[in-house]
Amino acid sequence: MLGITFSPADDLKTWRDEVGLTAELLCDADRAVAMAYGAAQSADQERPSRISVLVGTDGLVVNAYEVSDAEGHPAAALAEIP
Amino acid sequence: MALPEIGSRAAAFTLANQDGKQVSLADYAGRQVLLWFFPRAFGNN
Repeated sequence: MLGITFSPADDLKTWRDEVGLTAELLCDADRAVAMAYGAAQSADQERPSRISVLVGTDGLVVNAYEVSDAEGHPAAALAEIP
Repeated sequence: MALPEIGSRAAAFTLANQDGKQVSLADYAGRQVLLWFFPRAFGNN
């Protein structure tokens, strides 16, 4: 799992350590990746939308989700992986 | 902007991780990977 947001790397590092995450957290400062995946409408959007995208072993999109249940979503999405 | 279409090729990217190391989607070739877009560090994500 790769977490992607707009926060600076230093903040990501501090927060990741604080909450004990093991996923890599990536800094999409210019919003280009978020825009490519539909998580942002423009380069000045303050925060990405809560979405996730499952990419298969062949590099194709297996599923894309708008996340409403942030707490339960990762387990539900990972459960779909065969 | 719409979510990516199922079955379409996932857009390639390279971004810095929390340690400043460059990470590419291509690094995960041959593995399934969940891309999790979340609002911000320190938020209720």
